[in-house]
Order: sequence, then C-alpha cells, then structure tokens
Amino acid sequence: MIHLIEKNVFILVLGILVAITFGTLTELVPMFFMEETNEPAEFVKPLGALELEGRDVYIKEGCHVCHSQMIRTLKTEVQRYGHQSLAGESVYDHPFLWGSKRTGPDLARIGGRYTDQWHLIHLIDPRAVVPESNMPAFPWLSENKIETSQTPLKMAALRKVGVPYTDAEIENAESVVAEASEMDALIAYLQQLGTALPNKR
Amino acid sequence: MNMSLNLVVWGLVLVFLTYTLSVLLTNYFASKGTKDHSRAGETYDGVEEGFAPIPAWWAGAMIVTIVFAAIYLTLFPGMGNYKGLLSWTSEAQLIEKQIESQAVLQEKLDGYFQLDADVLVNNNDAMKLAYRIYQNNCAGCHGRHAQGAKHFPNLTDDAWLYGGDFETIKYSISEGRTGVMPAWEAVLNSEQLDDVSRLVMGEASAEGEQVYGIYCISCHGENKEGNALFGAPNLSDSSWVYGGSLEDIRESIAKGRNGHMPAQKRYLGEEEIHLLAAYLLHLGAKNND
Repeated sequence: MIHLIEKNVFILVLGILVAITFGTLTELVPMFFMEETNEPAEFVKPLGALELEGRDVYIKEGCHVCHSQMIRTLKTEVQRYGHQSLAGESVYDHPFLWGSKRTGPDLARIGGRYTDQWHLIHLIDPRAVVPESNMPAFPWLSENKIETSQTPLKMAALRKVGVPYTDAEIENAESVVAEASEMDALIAYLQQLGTALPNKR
Repeated sequence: MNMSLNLVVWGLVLVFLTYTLSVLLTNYFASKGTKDHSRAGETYDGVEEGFAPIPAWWAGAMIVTIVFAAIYLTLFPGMGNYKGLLSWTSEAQLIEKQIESQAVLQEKLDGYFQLDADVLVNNNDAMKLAYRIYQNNCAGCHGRHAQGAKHFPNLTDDAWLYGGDFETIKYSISEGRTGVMPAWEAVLNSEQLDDVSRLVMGEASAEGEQVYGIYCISCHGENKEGNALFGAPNLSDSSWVYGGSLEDIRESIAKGRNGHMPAQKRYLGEEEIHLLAAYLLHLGAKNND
C-alpha cells in the first residue's frame, strides 16, 4: 500500500488532502454554523456607498498589508486601540480586512480618533504629521475620482452574499458618490471604523 | 443546544479519527521490525530503503502529545461550541487583567489629582505616566515630542491660542476647541491680500494697515496681540500653526482655516486630563529653560 501512495502522485495528493482536512473540519467548519460568527454585533450596519468605495480604495492601495484591523484580547492592546474586535463586527466584510502585520498601528477603531483634516494631511504626506513615519505617501487620492457606475453593482453583489442593502440604498448609491474623490471615500471609510460599539475607548 | 451537542460529537469523532489513524500507522511501521529484506522497500539507484523500527523516544513523545491533546480539549474550548470544563475565555481573562491594572492605575491617578500643577511637574513618576497617556492619545496630532506640525499646535512653546494657565489648558483638552479663520478672498482682492499678508510678516504699508484696521483688528487686536477668548492668534510672535512663510500666511488669510481639537472628555477622565495639562507645562518649562 505504501508503494501505491509513494508511486502514484494522485493518490499521494488525495491522501494529503484527507489528512489536512481533519484540522479544517475540526476547527473551521463548526464556525460556519455558530451564531457568534454569523450574526452582526449590535449596531453594526452595512457600509454606506461612499464608505464602501473607500473600503475598496483601502484594498486597492494595499493598506491592509501594513495595517491590521483586529484588536486582540490583550490588556495592553485594548488599552492602546480600544475594545477588542468582535466577530460580529466583520460579518458584512467580504473579504475581511483583519490583516496580518502591523508596520503601522491597528486601525480597527480609528474612526473618530483623528480629524478629517489630519487624515487628509497624513495621507498626502505622512511625514508632515509623523516625522519618523515610513508610510508611503498617497497624494494621488485627491485627484482620482470614484467610478460611480460601479457602486450600485458592488452593493448588489454584496447583497447576494448576505449584506442587507435595500433597493433604495442601491438606487441612491450613484448620487451619494457623485463627484467624490478617492480621498473623500477613504476618509469616510476610516472615520466609521470601529464606531459600531458605543464606548469604544 | 442540539447544535452544540452535534458540534462536540463532530469534533470528538474527528479528533478520535485523526489520532487513531496516526497511532495505527505508527504501530504498523514500528512492527515492521529490523531490516527484513523480504519486506524491504524500493531500491533506488542501488540505495536500499528499509523499515527500521520507530525510536522509542519518538513514539513515546507522540503518545504524550495525544494524551496532552485529550486533556487540553476536555479542559479548554477547541471543538465547536464546547466550552471546556474550566469555562475559560480570553475575554474573561482580559477583563480580569483589566480590573487588576485599572485598580492600580486609578489609585495613582487619584493621588495625582489631589496635587497642584507646580508639584506635579516635579514628580518624575507622575510625568512618566503622563508621558505614556500623552503618547497614546495626543502624539498622533501633536507629535511625539509635542512639537506639533503644520495645522497642529506646538504644545511646548509659550504661545497659547486660548490661554496657557493650568485650568484653561485642562478645558481645552477636555472640551476641545474649534478655531475658525474666515476666508477673506471673498471680500479682499488679490492686492489687498498681498498687502495685509506682508503687514503680518512685518512689512508695514499704508494699504496693509488700512485693510488690517477694517477687517482684522476686531479679532486680532490693535497691536496684533490676538485674543485668547476665541483663539485668535497673536500675529506678532513667531508661532504659526499654519506656517509662517508669506505663502502660508496669505493662504490662511485668503482661504481661511478651520482648526479642530477634538474634545477628549469622551475618552479621558478628569484625573488623566489633570495629569496631561501638568505634563504640558512640564514640557514647556523644559523647552524654555
């Protein structure tokens, strides 16, 4: 039997798949059926049209590569960033942006922490407000405009995977993002991050 | 309820399968004994593959890990909804630690709250604590050394837009401030803007004085000394929140400004603000020595 596995690569691959799915089945699959991980936390709402476009700017510019959005249940972390992130806060995020690295600080509860003006200056030139920063500059965000025809399509697509957008919201989407720059959208997205919990700090 | 039972059973079955399979396979190979050429493996380019027994220490370690896993998964959550015999959650552990450290912190803060600013600025422990509160809450805008940046005031100098006494600083931190400079390009033409900008920079002219005397004097005062009541800056000093070059000043006058200090009372308690205000005075004293 060993010879069979060793010589036939397809059987080997099948055997590997069977072995590694044990871990997936034990740890991940149960989560698909748990209320905690599927129901939105209280006060969590789907993103508005402008914030949704801002989220896509966030992904496009690769912000999630350096910034995490997951506050863990560690005392010092909660002290710095605010209340620990709840599973129910990311139910409408497709895909989630928990991140995996903190070159820059965690952004899970960055909403309302800095003024819009601060974000504008910081995104155009991070070293203007944080001299020791090595974050790249994003000056083009103010010049690029949102592609408004895409917004209703995005919301309809998200609705298909369970984000409860109403027909009215989808119809109004284009007018909400009309004339908005990528900078406007991104700042709107950032300013709502983590604001679902009332006493976040 | 039913769901959680299903999940536990599901998890147990899988764990059981995984480990049983591993144990069985291990035993199978271990029983293959010493080099038995009749049951030897392949020969690759003249190199023989044999089946030596698995080392006892290795097999032993594996048994230990299996036993450990069984105990772990009984005591701690790891299979679906099963909470574990210890009912341990990371959130409960966090809250426990927070209560503990908050008690220590609150005691310190209460102590410092009783002290006056002039005592606090000389208290090293108080200033260290204040430094950390500052870094976490204020440094993002006002800079790591409170030196500020364009749009964000320098907190270490003597120039205070709204007043630099202890109580006023506490108020500014707690309640926030909004500094509004109107956009004068709606009213002044380009020449007038040039003239008054130069006046502010120190180049007096009759035209500049005239513009100033009509439009600027009510907020910024007769001698450009400013007015702390509504945060109108002193235009005769060298402290410029929005930049002190001719271009910057002209832009401030023409386009206006809308500076916003968010109210910190939402995030910080009275005791922390008390400490922070003392810290700023401490920094100012260090800076101006």
